Order: sequence, then structure tokens, then C-alpha cells
Amino acid sequence: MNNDKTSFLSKKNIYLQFPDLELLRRARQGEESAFHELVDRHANALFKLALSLTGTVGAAEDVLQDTFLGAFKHLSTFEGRSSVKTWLIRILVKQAAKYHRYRRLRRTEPIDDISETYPSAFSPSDSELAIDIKTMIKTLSPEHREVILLRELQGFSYEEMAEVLGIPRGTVESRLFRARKELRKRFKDDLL
Amino acid sequence: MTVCIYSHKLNAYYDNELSHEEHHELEQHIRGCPYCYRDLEQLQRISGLITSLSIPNIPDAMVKRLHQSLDSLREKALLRMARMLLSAALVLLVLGSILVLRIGVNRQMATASDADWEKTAVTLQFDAPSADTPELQFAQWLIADLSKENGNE
Repeated sequence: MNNDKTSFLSKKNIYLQFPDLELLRRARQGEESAFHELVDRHANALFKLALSLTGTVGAAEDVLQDTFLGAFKHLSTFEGRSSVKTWLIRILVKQAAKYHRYRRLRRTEPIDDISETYPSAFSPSDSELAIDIKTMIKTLSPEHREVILLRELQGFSYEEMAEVLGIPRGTVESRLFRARKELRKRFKDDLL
Repeated sequence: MTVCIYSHKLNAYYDNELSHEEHHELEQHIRGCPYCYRDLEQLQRISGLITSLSIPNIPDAMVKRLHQSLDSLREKALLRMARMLLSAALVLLVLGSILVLRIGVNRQMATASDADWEKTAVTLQFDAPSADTPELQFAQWLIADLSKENGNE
């Protein structure tokens, strides 16, 4: 038992040294622990994105779980043209879009305020404007919300966003332009 | 809101997505254009507000659940594979049994026919035709007579 724990820890230390691509290659070859390391590495960033896209912790967890399970099931589909993180984000964005479609079909209630469902979602020290902006982001269409969050939270380039969302670069630019225009319109007085 | 013809390029400028020349050109323009300068400021403020939003970290329990769900998926996959292998083995077993049975029956039939042939071959007897036709009676008489003449009797 103790030996098992030691071997797990030493294996974990080895995995820490590997880049994402190597971990993915090993996971493909059946080294399950390699994929667990990928989960540990990216879960936090992906959770933040999922939470921003869906608005509730429960939905974010579902989306995140579907993302990792989907990635694990389709390890062979990764072609290596993008980074592993970009690949995971692409799956996550698709899962979030699926979640929004499902909500629309089920005509469920509008998503709860993040700060209500998850008190620490946004720091109380944020200015009133910051609290407003999170509300504004939530009122954007899912397509506009995606581009804004990928750009501002993930720091994605237009090319990366185009790849993640599976749309042309020009569409990314126009969506981002409209999303920002929308936000500026709503904050017209505050931003002056 | 905006009245400058360069406004559509402001996003790309802000996001550093323009070529070096375009970027430089727009930079020169912004210095002299109050509309673009104001729009750029607003872009920066909105961007700053979004990036400053503190989104909580993933709870440890959730990470644990993620790992558990992956383990459970792997177990399910192994179980599914085991079932498939078992089904394949059963199919092979049934097919093999059918094949063995058919070979057995064929061999039995072949053995039976061989035995008949051998039996027939070994016990084959030539039955001389009985001399019931006049020609045969004549031939038999002639042979018998010649034998007598040759002193065979």
C-alpha cells in the first residue's frame, strides 16, 4: 500500500515534467494517469471559462465533466494542430453551446446570478461597475459572450478563437466588434 | 457613438491583430483623432473590467469528482470490452462446435461409404452367366467336346 502510494507520487512527479502533448500521447497509449495529470493542469482554467459561459457552478461542473470525458473518449481525434489546452477549450465551448441549446429547448428559467448561486463568484471588493459588467456579459448572446470571454479571459488571438469556435476569422472579428459595441452602448454613461 | 472611418479597425488594433504597418498607421491616426482616442479608452476600460472580475477557483471536491468520473468511464469501457470479448468467444465457440459436428458427420459418412466399397470390392464374385441361350449352350457343348477329343477327360 505504502509502496503503491510512493510509486504513484513518483509517477506524478514524472508527469509534472512532461509537456501536454507528451501526456496526451501517453494517455493515448493507455497510461491513464497521464490524462489525470492533464485534468489537474487544466481543470481550474477550464472551470473558470465554463462558469463564465454558463453562469452557474452546477452547469459549469456538468460542462467541465462532459469536456474531460469527451476528450478522454476521443483522444485519437486530437491531430496536434493546436495546443492541448486549445483543443480542450474547443470541446468545452461546444459543450457550453450544447448546454445553452438544451436550456432553450427546455425553456428553463434564466440562469441565476453567479453571485447568488456561488457567493464568492465575484469578489465583493469589485466596483459597482464590475458587478454590472458581469450582468451585462450574461445578457449578451451566447455567441457574443464566447468571443468576449475567450479574448479577455483566455487571451486568445483571433486565429485561435476561429479555430476553437470553428468559424472564419472574419466572423470572430465581427462578433467581437458587435459584442464590445453592445457593452459600450450599455455602459455609455459610466464609461464617459 | 463613433464617427471616424477608422473605428472598425480599433478592435484589431487594441487586440494587437493588425500588421506592423497598419498598427503604426492607426497609432498615428489615434493621436490626432479624438473619436478614436475616446473609443479606445472605452475599449480598454471594458476590457480591464472583464479581466479584473475575480472568478472563483475550481473547488477541490469538484476536481476529485472529475477524476472519479474518468475512472468510472474507464471501468465501464473495460467492462464493455470484456462483454464484447466474451460475446466474441461465445460466437467462436458455437461456430467451432458446429464446424466440429459437421466434420464429424462428414467423416462418418465418408467412413461408411469406404466400408461399403471395400466390402463390395472384397466380396465381389463373378457369376458366370447361365447357358440359357442356344448360342451359349452350343458354345459350352463345343468346349466340352473339344476337351474330350484332346484327352482331357
